Amino acid sequence: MSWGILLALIGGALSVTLTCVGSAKGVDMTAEAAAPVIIDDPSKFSKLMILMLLPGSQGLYGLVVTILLLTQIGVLGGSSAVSFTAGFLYFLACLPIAIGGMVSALLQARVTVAGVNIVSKKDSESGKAVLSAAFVEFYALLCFITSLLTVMNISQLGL
Amino acid sequence: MAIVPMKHIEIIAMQSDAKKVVDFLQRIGTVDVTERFKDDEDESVALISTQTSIAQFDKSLQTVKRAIELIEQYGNVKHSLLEGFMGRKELSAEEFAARTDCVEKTMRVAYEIEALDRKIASEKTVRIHTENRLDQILPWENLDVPMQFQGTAKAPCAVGQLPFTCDEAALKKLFDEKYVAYMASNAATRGEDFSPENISIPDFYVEIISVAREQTCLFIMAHKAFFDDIMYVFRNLGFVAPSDPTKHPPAYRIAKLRARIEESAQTILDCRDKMGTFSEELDNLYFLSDYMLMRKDKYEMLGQVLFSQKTFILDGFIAESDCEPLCKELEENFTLYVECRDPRDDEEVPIKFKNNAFAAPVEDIVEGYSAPSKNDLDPNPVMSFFYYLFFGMMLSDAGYGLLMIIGTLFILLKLKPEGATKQNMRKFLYCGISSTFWGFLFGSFFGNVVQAISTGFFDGSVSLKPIWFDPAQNPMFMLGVSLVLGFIHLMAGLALKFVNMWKHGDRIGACFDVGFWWVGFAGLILVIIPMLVKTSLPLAEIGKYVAIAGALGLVCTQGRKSPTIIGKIIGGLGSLYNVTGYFSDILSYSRLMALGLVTGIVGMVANTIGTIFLSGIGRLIIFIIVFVVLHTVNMGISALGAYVHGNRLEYVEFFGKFYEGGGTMFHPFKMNTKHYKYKEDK
Repeated sequence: MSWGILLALIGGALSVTLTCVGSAKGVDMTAEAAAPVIIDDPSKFSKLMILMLLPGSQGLYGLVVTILLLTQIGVLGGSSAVSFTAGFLYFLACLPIAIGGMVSALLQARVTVAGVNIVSKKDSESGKAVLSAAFVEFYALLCFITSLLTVMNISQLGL
Repeated sequence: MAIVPMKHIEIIAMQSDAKKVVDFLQRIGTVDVTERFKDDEDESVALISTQTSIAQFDKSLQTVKRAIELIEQYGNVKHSLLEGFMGRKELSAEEFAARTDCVEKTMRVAYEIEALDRKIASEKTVRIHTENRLDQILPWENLDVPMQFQGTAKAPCAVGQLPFTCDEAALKKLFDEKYVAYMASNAATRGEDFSPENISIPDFYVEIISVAREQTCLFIMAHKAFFDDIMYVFRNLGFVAPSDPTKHPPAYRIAKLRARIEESAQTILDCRDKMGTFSEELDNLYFLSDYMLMRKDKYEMLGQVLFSQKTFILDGFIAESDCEPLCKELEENFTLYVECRDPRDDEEVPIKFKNNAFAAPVEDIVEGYSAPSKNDLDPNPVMSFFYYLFFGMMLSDAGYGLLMIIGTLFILLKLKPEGATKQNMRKFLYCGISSTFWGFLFGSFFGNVVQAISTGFFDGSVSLKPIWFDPAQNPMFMLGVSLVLGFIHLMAGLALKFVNMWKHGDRIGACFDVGFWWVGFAGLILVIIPMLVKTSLPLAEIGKYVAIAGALGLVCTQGRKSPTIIGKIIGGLGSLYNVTGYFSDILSYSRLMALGLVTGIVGMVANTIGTIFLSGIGRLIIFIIVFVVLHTVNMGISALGAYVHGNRLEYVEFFGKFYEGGGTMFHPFKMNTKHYKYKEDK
């Protein structure tokens, strides 16, 4: 076994784990905040559910990066020969989504928790709460694109 | 395809006709009644407060709603999920009148239900209270004399409890110790000598009725000669008489309390059953709740109307096209005076959209941002196209798209929803069509399900080839496509700004503010093209000068509103800074690529997981389960993402270019009912 593939796999593991931890915590915060509102008015559940799901997308971005990484280094379907340098680059490529994804999920959760407050008092304005959370999500998307493009193109460097 | 022109309408009618006129207006539902400012009126007219009536209707409405809820709950009336999508039932004028006649009867039913509900509540309180009493008396169940039993003349008795747990032997021991100590202190007060050996501890009868945590229930009987001493010692031990002693043996009271609990349980059940039997009144109650809602709306509207002694004046706005027929019908049916005029400039005219079936469904997205101000044009037609396009690109799966098409078509054709539900279904129908379109372009059908099935169950030779390209294989190209589409979207926004300024007479401004940007962008495009495609033309060279020309134009014109020369220069140079704004706007469209890729790859992962376990029929079963669960989740999350980010692209990037907002929507005074509507006879 080479050090390259080890580093690459650590990167992949970080990417999916950190984003999922962030997303899980984010969904959890929102769902906890939503519970008392649901007690008062169960009909608001659908609107609150959208808010709950919003911080969940970062985990998906992490997963996508990891899956692409696994196909690139040949762990999924193929033979793998990853040099140390390439492996290290794969590791670096995972960091933007791993860190950016996790932190943005946690910060986004603070917006959605505030959004729960909006829905509880004025549920006609829930669209604005959802939109505010989407502003935070964009930065997770930027991290995702960076990680994704890097992972997809490292093999072309011929290292 | 635009914002409907409005007319201001003023109706002056006799007060005796008020009810009929208002009912008529509510049924027609085309007038947005506004409060009239009284400043230029004399004092013979006044607003009348309708708050009391409104509050009363509100209360009745709550009663009716609660009654409906209770009947549905206890009469086992089930609503299917699909019913929520269905439109209101139609009633002809006669049916409507007939139902209005029995409104009072139905209201009595609602009150009856309310009374039953109150009875249930009070029975519940009684039950809790009785249960508490039962808990207190239960430890005494084995006592076979009344708790108030005093004993006989020679042998008095006591019933009570000690605040600790003990058995008979321990109690005896404790008592003996305390008794000796008591006798010793007695002797000491009398100044006598005391030796414990001389004390004879009196005999008495004690029965432990029950032992519970920190409580021992006792029955004590002793000869009257010692009784006081014995009781003194016991009281020192913490013996107290029960707070609510029984006249009869406790078992008697227990039986009574249990019967009472049983009875209230039965009463509650009876009340609930009785509520259930009203289920045939449900239809009437639905109508009644609609009726109350209408009356409430009516009184809210009347609160904005000016009354004099004999007449009333009603102001409002009406769409120009509805104006003529309404005036005619009003004048035919009633004795009144109607005047229509164009709205004054200082009036805040409500906004009503009129769009075709393609653009109308996104009206609520515009409303969710802000209704257009009177200087804005209707963004819906242009926006709807891009909205559907981007939604489809972000969901980008033909399978999900087809599911959306089937689902929305089923609801639209089968259940015939109305209003907002109908528009939403239409919106998702178009979004579904667009998703299917992009899905086939990108070769994504439930992820890569065709290939996954073919590899998992057959020889792996079949797969669905993308018509255009596979974004997962070529993400850079996908990013390019996203940004180019984004650029087109922004340019469309600028075009709308141009049109709007042109329409409002600021033609030079339109050329300056939009035209020069276009020149600049055209130059940039010319510079970029040679980087992507090989040409022999000196495009880059030309582009450079075109871009510079555009920039110069902006520098010269953008500060024109500033009064000073320096202000003009700074304003002009500052406008170039907006380039960064455009840059970040365009980059914002990278989300199209990101969300599109996420859907496709998660779908692929779902299929892979589904086809790696077991083989043959076992694999098939696992595959079906995994497929249904994971694809449902993926479709839900991706559609949510596509919806939210689609909105954002319209609100921030697109509207930012030309849209002001801040107007009010047109809310006509109409029958805002939930269950029934008028069938207009035509």
